[in-house]
Amino acid sequence: MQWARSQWDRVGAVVLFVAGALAVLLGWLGVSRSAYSAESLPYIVSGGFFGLLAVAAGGVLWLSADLRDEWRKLDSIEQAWREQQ
Amino acid sequence: MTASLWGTRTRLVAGAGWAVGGLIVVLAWWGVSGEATVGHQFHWLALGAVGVLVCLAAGAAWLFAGMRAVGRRIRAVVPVPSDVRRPVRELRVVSEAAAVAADALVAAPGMRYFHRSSCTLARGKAVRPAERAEHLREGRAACGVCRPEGPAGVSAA
Repeated sequence: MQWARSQWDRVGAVVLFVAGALAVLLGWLGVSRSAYSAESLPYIVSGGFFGLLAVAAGGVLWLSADLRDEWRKLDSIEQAWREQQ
Repeated sequence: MTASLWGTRTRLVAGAGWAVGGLIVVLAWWGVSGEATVGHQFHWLALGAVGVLVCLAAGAAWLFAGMRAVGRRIRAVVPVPSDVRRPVRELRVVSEAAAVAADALVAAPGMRYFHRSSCTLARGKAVRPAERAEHLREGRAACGVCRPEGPAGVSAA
């Protein structure tokens, strides 16, 4: 639980990845069950576009977590540097 | 207190980008769902693609801003070798034993006196530590500057 709190961005990224994959899957199901093209296009937008956005948001969140890790490491390096001077 | 990784402006731009992009996609979905023919739906579909691109651009801007900030911080924190060359005037070999025992009695071969390792007269010389008896056996006398015969910390150096 504590890990999930400190790594909220990575947890959020995984949730978004799963949600995006689920949205794409549901969109595909909707399209495959549609008889007409006009009926399937809303599924492409809702499933495909929102799924893509969720996966992209998850990727951004995950990379942001990596950047935050680097930032924290630089914080500790700077602090150690100041203590030595 | 260190600066934040992402500034207020970056947060605003990225947040606005995602909000606008998301709204455009929602609008496209609403438009597509309301049209009966594929020909009319494609306009909304194109609008949805634009919304996705706006979101992706906002995400890319967010990540690039973060990477730039980390790069700037690395250049500021991690010392880099200077372009100015500073020639080394003197290289000195200091024995490990002398370095560990700061108050050891030291002398170099050929020296007439033995010194405390901290003595000015022993600095810069290839001295090695030895017991007092050994120094005396080799015919050395105690230095008159650092006075290794006296109590520790009392010297004329």
